[in-house]
Amino acid sequence: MNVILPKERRRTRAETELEAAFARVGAGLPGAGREAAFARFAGTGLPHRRIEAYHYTDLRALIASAPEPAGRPSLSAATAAVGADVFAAVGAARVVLVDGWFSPKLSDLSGLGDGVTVASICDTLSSGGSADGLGRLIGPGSAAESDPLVALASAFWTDGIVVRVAPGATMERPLEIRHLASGASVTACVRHLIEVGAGAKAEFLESHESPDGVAIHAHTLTELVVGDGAEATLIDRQREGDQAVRLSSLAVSLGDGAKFDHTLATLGAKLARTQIFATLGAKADLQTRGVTLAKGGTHADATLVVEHVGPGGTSRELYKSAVDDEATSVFQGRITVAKTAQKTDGRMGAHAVLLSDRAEAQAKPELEIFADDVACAHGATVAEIDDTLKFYLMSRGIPADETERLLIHAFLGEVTDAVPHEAVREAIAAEIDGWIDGRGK
Amino acid sequence: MLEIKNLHAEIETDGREILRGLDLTVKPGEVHAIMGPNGAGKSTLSHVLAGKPGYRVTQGSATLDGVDILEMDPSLRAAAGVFLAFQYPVEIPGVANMTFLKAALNAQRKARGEEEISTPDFMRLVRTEAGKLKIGQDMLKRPVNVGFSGGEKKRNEILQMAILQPKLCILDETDSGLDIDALKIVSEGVNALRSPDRAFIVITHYQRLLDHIRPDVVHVLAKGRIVKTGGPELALELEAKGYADFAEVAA
Ligand SMILES: Nc1ncnc2c1ncn2[C@@H]1O[C@H](COP(=O)(O)OP(=O)(O)OP(=O)(O)O)[C@@H](O)[C@H]1O
Ligand SMILES: [Mg+2]
Repeated sequence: MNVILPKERRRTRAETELEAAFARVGAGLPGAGREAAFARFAGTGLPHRRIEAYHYTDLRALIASAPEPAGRPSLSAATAAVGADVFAAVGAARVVLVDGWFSPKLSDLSGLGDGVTVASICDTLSSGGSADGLGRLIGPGSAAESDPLVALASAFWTDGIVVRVAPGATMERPLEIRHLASGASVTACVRHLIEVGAGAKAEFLESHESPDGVAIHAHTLTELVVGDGAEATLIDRQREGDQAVRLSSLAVSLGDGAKFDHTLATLGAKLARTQIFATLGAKADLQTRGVTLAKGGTHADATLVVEHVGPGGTSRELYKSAVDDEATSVFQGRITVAKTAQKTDGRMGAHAVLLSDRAEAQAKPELEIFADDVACAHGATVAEIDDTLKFYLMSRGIPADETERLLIHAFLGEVTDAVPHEAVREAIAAEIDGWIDGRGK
Repeated sequence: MLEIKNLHAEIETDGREILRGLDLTVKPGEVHAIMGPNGAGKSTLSHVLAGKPGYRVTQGSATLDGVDILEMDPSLRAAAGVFLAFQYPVEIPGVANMTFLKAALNAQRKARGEEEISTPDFMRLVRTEAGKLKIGQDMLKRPVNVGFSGGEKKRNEILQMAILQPKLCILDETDSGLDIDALKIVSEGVNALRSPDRAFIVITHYQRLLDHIRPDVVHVLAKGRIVKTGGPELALELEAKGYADFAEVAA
């Protein structure tokens, strides 16, 4: 009998490059579990449209080639990468990573208060310190475990930070994590572990930046534990250059009675995917909102997987995008309510405004409910700028392009106005203005 | 000031002709009332003058101080001095009334090559004009027209007019939806704006408004044309007899 074995799938160029890169650098990277992580990635390869979670963001098609893993940049190269900080007015403490490498000289960790420790993962491991908890939120049984981007980042990370906020402690000022680029076209890969102890309060900002014209592939994998009764906020803003690939994964667990307020601002990159895997304990409260601006030929994806595990939890997801030229925005959101999560209150909305007739927006909100006493709802809309509103504004003397500016701000306002921190709100509004100024250019 | 000659306009989508050879001349300082049956084309005329998309002008002209306005984009017409108080003002979620008023005023100033108004001057101006129209702080802070009552929307239109100080004010059924007191307040607002170099076209169905805003000329618009023109007494005549007489005239 002839047995016809399925021919092994041909690897894409990018996959071959990643494999070769791992063979070269993998053994020299710190920490455990690298081989297993890469094997998990290699099992699927770059995900494509027949994989449900990547249906609208076919990475096999969108990523033609994977650049070399980044080496540690020199101090002068790292220093040169530091541009103006859009969140300067917040007055946050600062961690700076360049091409995925922590730069203590460029960081300022003062004034965070008692009970707050921040250290690089590499330093922690090499000094025999504890990186306890690293990998727990993406381990067996988690929604993130099978994700190929999580696996890839777990295989290639070069450094990152461990932040621990002791139980009951309050961070005295926010901590900003800046991910910068030296300008080399490299694969930069970081992972972070943040633990906010029971009853503690913590605020984080993240900024991802790279210059236009640089084909950097920037990966970030963050595990964030918000302990019982703790309160955490995270504002994650991405303004990568026009040739950059930005791939971020955040796995977050909310303990009983924990609160997590999350904002995602996707303002750049040629290809961006941010995925959030959240699990909620009893009476936990998750607020997540997102604003995406996409133009040119860019593709921006925000994917949420929210699991209500404990009873009485609340989650609010509101994502809005403005899409111009031939850009694409993708929103996928799945709220799962476990049998144990009675009295869950979940509401998800995804809305897009198309500013050109070639622009595209895909929205796929889903509910998966296994409990019987819950209040959950979702909605999605895709629309164009309303001509009636535009005419009304123009009839009062406001020129066409200015009416669009007002209406884009008005559309996004429901998200941007809800961002905690006035200084951050203003910074994001200014960035939206800058994006609008650049339309059609 | 406004000179409309043989104006023909149709609905863009289905080619239905609504304005069918309309002539109208309005001089500076004058108040013209336009009355006429439902569906006659009164709002269409106001929309065509303001530049609302969806209509196609097939013949004729409309000039403001000798300048053809039909080719201009709506914002330029506004800067040139055309203002339409809409029959149905739209709601604009997310744009605060104040932000909108300031953007409009400054855009018009800019188009005319004038300086932007300073914030304190603007606040003073809005406070004064809003006060006259009994419009509270709350309505100024809220998004434009969102959740406003019918009468509040109409008052908000007049507030915009008072702030923008246009040359040619077109009021399309501003009286509908206004209670008796609001009608008085709005009329006073309009009368305060009357001046030798400003003109008004007041579209209405009722004499009641014309008791407050005394017109110089009254027109009957039927089936897309001005079919009769007279003095204030014409409005009283219409109130008594209705439009029956004009059905054949226009046909
Ligand atoms: N955008 C449009 N699409 C289709 N039909 C239209 C449109 N605008 C106006 N019309 C039609 O044109 C005709 C004239 O309408 P218009 O609103 O100008 O009447 P009007 O004189 O203002 O009436 P009313 O006194 O009821 O306000 C009506 O038959 C109306 O249905
Ligand atoms: Mg009408």
